[in-house]
Amino acid sequence: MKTNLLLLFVFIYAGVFGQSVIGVDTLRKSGPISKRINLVLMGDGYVTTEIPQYITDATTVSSYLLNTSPFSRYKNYFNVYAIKCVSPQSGVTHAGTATDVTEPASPIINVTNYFDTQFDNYNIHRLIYSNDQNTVYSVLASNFPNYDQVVILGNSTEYGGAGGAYAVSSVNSNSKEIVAHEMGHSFAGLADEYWAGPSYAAEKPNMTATSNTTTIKWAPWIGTNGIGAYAYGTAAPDNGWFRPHQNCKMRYLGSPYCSVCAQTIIEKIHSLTNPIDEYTPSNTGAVGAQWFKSKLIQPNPNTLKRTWTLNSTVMANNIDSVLINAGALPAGNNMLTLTVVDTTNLSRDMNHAAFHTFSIVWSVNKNIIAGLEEAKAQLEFSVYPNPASNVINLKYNVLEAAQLNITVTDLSGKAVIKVDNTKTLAGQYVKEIDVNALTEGVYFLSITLNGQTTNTKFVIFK
Amino acid sequence: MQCNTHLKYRCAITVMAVLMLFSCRAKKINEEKPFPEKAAFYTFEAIRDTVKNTTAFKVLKVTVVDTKLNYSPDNAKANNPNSIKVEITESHKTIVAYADHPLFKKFDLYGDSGEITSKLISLPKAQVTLRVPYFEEYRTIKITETVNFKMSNPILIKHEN
Repeated sequence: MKTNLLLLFVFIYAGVFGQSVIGVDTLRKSGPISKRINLVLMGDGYVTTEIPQYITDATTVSSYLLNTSPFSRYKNYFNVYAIKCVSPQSGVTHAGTATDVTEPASPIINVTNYFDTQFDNYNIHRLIYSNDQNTVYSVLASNFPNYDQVVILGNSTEYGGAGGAYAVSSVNSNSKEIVAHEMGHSFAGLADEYWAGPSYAAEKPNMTATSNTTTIKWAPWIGTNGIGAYAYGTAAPDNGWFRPHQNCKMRYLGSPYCSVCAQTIIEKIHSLTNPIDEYTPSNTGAVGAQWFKSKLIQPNPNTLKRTWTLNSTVMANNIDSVLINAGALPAGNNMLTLTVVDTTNLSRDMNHAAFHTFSIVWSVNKNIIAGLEEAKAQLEFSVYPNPASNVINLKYNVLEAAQLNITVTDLSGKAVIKVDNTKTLAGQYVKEIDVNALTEGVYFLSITLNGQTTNTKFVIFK
Repeated sequence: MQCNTHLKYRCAITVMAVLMLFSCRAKKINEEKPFPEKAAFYTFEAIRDTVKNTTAFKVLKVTVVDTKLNYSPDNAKANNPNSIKVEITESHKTIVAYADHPLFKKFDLYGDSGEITSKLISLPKAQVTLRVPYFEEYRTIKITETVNFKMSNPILIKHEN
């Protein structure tokens, strides 16, 4: 009741006194603001009764962007918010002053809206921009100061948009592509792949003065997905600059991002976010033997490779958690490292691993008692003989009924044997596993009990 | 005699201990401060002097808000033909930020077929807002502009108080 009265008051206030901000809606929440890229939308030219339409428009535009590759694979890295700004009047000003069309190209209207969003900026009809930058930043400062990208939607179905410190777009169905193009500039620092003039010829991730395909900055992509070294034009100075593709979104709306631009976007995503979302224990100083757990922000498909090493020896790959038993630890401090790297085939950046390998390092000391009882309470097991040749025996003791998975992986993390996926009652078990098909080498046996994975290493010797 | 030797050793050890103590403290002072939980929106006004080919900048507004920024300067903007580098110096720290030059704007123009062209607009006067981590009031702000890839001498703005 109180909330309804408050909303009614806000609506009446907005209607009588003009503009106001009536809140921020969360359109997509993938995780904490501090750990995600925050896309913030603001509407202009929406009156009180049009705010539901604004939310629909903001959802449409942001969904379009996040369903465009490569953003689509990394949706989980983004939050989306819509600041609800009520304008005194509906629509976007069209002064009819453009010189690039025969005016009136659309009905002339003069609208008092929140951010002074209008067409015909600088006498260009489709150049829609929010000119009251002071108000734009005041609203951001008051409502969502830790934005990463800002998009302003002008409430008009006339086609138009612009980039800059914030992208502006109308809600014409084709304008969504403008937002995607402008994100290429403002988010990833991409150059246009059309010739924007000599003033804008500069070394960028997707623009270079080098045409040698073996030394060009996108050399690993040459010959793949139409990537080459294409001159911007046939005469100087255009012919001295090169783009990676002939039909990229940074040149034509409606086209996909080329492989080089997609790679740049992915690298940017990784420079803004750490894929290791959570880990325990959160204290990485001297800790005792226990479960070490991690939660990643997973792309779709999940291309993150997770490696656990103890004192530089790989102990497990691509699992959420490992159990370190005090008995297996050497005396003193031991270094447990979780390393995460994105193995996506959308990036061939030669610096990818150097810049975007993320890790957590714990110092583990067998003399510190912490958390081990909890780990022990779930599962105890051993593998014998080790080394083995044809058969290994897995002896395990389940203390409480649980869902049990047993997997054998090779050193690359590939599952070579999957044994079980059954509900297991409490008790002692010995399971014989046929390893005859395995070649000589080191393998990991993982038991996952109710989502918690424990590993042990064994050797096949023939 | 032996007593004097002991005294000398004691004095030396005391002096060394004091030096070690001070060296530890000095190290701590030099440690990088973690980012604060405040951010500032600096709004500048830029006015072009077309005779001298220079730009005058002044601080119009500083809005401080409580938020933690995961800040790193947008270095990619430094490669733009028209850009500004802003160095905000507080008592112990200088924050660097880059932005597109407010007086030389490039706009993409979109055709019906999806083709894109561009237009460069020069303005006599405009505003630019930068968002940076905030520790305390600035003492000086140094702005270096790049116009058509040419870097000018920096302009220094001192805090009025």
